[in-house]
Amino acid sequence: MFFQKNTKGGEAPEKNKKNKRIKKKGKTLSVELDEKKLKNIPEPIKEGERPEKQGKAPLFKRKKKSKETVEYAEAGADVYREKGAVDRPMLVIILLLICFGSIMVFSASYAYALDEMGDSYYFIKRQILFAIVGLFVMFAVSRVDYRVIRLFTPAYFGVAVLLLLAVLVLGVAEGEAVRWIDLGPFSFQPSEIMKLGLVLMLAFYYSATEKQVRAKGFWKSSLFGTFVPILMVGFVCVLIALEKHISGTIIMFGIGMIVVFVAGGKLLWFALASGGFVAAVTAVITMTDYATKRLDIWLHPENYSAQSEVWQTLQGLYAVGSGGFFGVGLGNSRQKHLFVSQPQNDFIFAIVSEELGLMGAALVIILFVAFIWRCFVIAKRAPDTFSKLAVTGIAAKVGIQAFLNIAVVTNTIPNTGISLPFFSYGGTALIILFLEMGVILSISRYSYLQRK
Amino acid sequence: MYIRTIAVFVVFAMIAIFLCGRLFKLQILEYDQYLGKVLDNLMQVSVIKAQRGVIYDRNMQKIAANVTTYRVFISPADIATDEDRATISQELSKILDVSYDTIYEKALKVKRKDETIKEHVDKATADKVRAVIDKYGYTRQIYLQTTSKRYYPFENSAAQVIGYMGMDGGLFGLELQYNELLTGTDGKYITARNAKSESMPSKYDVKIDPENGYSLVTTLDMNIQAILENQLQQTYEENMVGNNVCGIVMDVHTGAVLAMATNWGFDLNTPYTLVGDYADELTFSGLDKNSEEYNELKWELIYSMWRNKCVSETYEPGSTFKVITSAIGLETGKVTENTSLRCDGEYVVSGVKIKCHKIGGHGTGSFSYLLQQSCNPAMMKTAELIGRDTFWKYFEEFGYLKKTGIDLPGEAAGINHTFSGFHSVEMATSSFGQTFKTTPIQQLTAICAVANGGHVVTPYVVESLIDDDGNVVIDNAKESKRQIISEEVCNTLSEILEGGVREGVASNAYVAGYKIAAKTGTSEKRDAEDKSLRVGSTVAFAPANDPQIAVLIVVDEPGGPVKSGGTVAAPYVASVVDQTLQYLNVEKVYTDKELAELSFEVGDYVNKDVAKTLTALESSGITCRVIGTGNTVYSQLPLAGDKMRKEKGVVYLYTYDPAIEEQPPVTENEYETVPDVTGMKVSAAIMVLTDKGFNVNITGSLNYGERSGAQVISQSASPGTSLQIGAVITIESMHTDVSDNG
Repeated sequence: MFFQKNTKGGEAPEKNKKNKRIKKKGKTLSVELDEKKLKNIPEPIKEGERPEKQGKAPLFKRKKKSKETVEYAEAGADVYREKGAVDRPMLVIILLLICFGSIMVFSASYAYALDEMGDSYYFIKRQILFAIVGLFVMFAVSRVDYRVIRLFTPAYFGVAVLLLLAVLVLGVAEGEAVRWIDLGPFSFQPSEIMKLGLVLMLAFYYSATEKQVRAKGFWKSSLFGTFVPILMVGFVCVLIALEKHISGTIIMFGIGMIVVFVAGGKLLWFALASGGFVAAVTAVITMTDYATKRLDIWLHPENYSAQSEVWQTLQGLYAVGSGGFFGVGLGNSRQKHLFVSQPQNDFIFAIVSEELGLMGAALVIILFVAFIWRCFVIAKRAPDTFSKLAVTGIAAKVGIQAFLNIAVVTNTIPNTGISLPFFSYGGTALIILFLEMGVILSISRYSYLQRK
Repeated sequence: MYIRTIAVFVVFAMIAIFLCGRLFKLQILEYDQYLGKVLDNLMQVSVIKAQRGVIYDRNMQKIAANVTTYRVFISPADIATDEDRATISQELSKILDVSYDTIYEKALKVKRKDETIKEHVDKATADKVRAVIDKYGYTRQIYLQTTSKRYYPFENSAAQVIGYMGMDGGLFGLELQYNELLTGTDGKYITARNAKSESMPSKYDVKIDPENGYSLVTTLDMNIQAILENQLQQTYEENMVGNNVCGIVMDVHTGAVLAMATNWGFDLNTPYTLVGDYADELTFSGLDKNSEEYNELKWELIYSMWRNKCVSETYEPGSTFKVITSAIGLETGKVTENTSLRCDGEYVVSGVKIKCHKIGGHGTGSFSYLLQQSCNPAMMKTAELIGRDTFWKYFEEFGYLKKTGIDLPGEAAGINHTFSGFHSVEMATSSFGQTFKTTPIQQLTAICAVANGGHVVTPYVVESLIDDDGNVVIDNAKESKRQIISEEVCNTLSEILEGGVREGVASNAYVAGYKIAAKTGTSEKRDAEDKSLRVGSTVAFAPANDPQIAVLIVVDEPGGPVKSGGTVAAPYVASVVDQTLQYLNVEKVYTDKELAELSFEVGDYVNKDVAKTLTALESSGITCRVIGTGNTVYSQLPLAGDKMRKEKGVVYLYTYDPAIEEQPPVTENEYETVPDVTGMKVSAAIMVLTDKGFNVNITGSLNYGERSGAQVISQSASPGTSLQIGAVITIESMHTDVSDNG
């Protein structure tokens, strides 16, 4: 019942709009379009055949077909989205990434763990544990209907906001641990939770306000499609900025902007905003000594090697550069021997580059590109606005974080603490990442077209 | 919506491509740079010092060697507390004899990881330090490093030639000349260290073995060196030399330097300690020990003490150069040994009157006679006959215009006329070795050319360089450069010079049994203020008929009454030649006359059969006088072991017949008063003494034929004392009449 309502609310305008548009463009074209449409029909049907083939490989596929189906309004009345198995390429990419990542955590942390913890396996043991827990979380979530997720989105977002506020309060009390909430055995960063929260909330928002976003009036469309969601993004960013968590703020902002952009934010505002942003950044850099110095540190790190952060950047660069084409071999990193500090964290990519060379480093990048590509494929096939935007947002989150991290390690941008998804060691962040993967996989199950 | 998704993907893909490009730049284009940084990070390089090469003499005796020592250093960065600092300072100061405060101060430099406390500590002391390390567990605070120290077993022998190894390599001598080859290349032990300097498992451990320096096998023979130095020391002391003396023994065929010495050999193990006159000069300089002048003088003296006079100082060769003038004259055929020349005691060249050393002149004589007499006008005339161009050409051919190229540092070039300034007066004076200067090594090299049949050789000190396994790496043996004088001329000249030793001004260079060709020289130090200063020298090569070695001794500023080279250098050259040839197992060949004059060591004839003894002695040319009629000798004079001259010598044998007489009879011995023979000619002295019934033993110059001017300069028994006839009186012979001022 709920779903039907939603389906109507979410997808109907799309259909109406398209119909309207066809009418608007003139009758001469309509026949041609109809023909085209008819010609196009067999293609989705072909795609729809896939669930039948997958019957032989029953991973995640229900033997008993779900009674709940999603109508695929756009393709016509005789085609609908059916709940099927999860997207296999996506699953493969995720598993490849986590396996690769875990191996690298082991290799990178080996020396550091021995020195710091007295146990070479300290980090890898925990990482594997979290990975297993994470996989369970992922599979569990992937079996939840994404509409249930949508249902809980406002609550999840609310909790994330509360946690961020809590961190501000607790953070003041705890001094440096501004970004973390400590729960005894575990600690986590509410900002990590918020990344998913923001993505889902925006998706939720757009699915709820589709009519207003697509409204004819420029200002109305701008208000609902751009200003309100940007205000939401801004609100979250401010919360995180209050933690003095610059990298988190940037990532959050990036995720938000991508979602708003994909959801149909007005390009004019984006153009204005990016212009203003560039102007503001330039002004800040040129006008404040602090920023100028940061810039110089970034451009000439060798002059500041005494600072621990610069030391890390430099040592990371040495590691990357000394990897060469094929690398020094898995496990043979020299820089992980306490030169790159905490090599299993933000600078794990440096160790990957060193041990596996340009080949390995490029492979990591390719895996992330493949991940993003697959996310967008899933988004394209996703049944409704919420699911499309949720997948897009999560892809944006992983992509931004991965590329920013690699950019930091290669000193392409100034050093700021950004972890590399699937690779960097980090318990709760990994579980949250798998939670996100679960959402993607869950949505991916609605990619299949079926003739009614 | 879909298009925007694609746009986002395109942006991501572009970023990905950009990052790949960035990685390409870092990992491929800048690979070397970053690899270098990582290796810098990682590699702890410990230097393995290459062993410096040993210097051997020709008999493979070590003349410069290495001993293992230790360097004690601390790592202040690893000393945690003041208490440790105090303990370390306390313990080390006790063992190393370094003050507590000095160590403590070094220990306070907390950023340093290597502060040397003491270098060149011996093993026993190092063991004590090790005990301290063990006792307190200061394995990261106190370190011992194996180092090595140069050691010179012969101490002061050939000091200026061998040279000294200072902090950064050789300072002079062979140590300097061959410094690079001796040094070798240090090895490295590269171990990987993590950021905390702990060793880490790694395949990057590399050990590059050091390449030890090559060892030098020199041509020096430390035995000949000792012979030479001994004689130099004697002439230095006996002739009260004002400056210093030097000498060289050289292989005439190869130019190999067998011995080379400058007196006042200092101990190479303490090269900064002034010795002998140098020390005295500083002590008596009257300068304040802390003054700058004192320090300056001290260093000046140290440097001059280190100077190898044989190669680094020049002198006017004087009459020794007449050998060269003669060689040119004979070679060009302008003179022969029989060419008759006249000496009037002076010769006028271009209006300049140049004197002969013999006032009144030598009269008319053959070229060879006048050369033996070291006549100056004869040489001037010879030079005139040779002509300016030819003379200059040969002068150059003999190598006087260039350095010899000996493999020793600091070789001085001669100070010569220029060809354009070489006119008849210059040539006249040059003909007898004045008005130009050369180094002793240059002079002897020229003489070698005459001795070896006309080949100019390059003198050298290092025969070969060998590696650790004894393989020859570099063979330094030189080929003779070129022949400039024919062998015939050389032979003729050798004969003339040898005759000069027998019956000329070089008589003091005579050695019975060896034919020595020698030429003495005495030159004025024309550039000195004191015009009475002389340089006396003698060159010799022997055996004259088949030359092996050439010897030169230069006595700079002899201070005695007689300053001629024939007196201050020749006898010592003779000794060097004699001992060296004996050492080299060159057999002595005596003439009959020499045999007769040979000193004879009296055997023990007591209790021996008279008839047999008589036969034995007489067959070897000894006259005997038998006293008594017995058949057994009971007493003899000279006593067994005494040395006496054979000629006119008489052995007195006192006999009795044990079968008849129970004990030897008491005979009345005949005594004679010892006459004063000092100052007499040796031949006359022998006559006087033997007439009295004494036996004679001669030391010093044995060339005392009747025509020679050898004089007795001392006698063993004082005049007026009474001695039994038959007793041996030893007289010392010396040619005091030899004058060869060039």
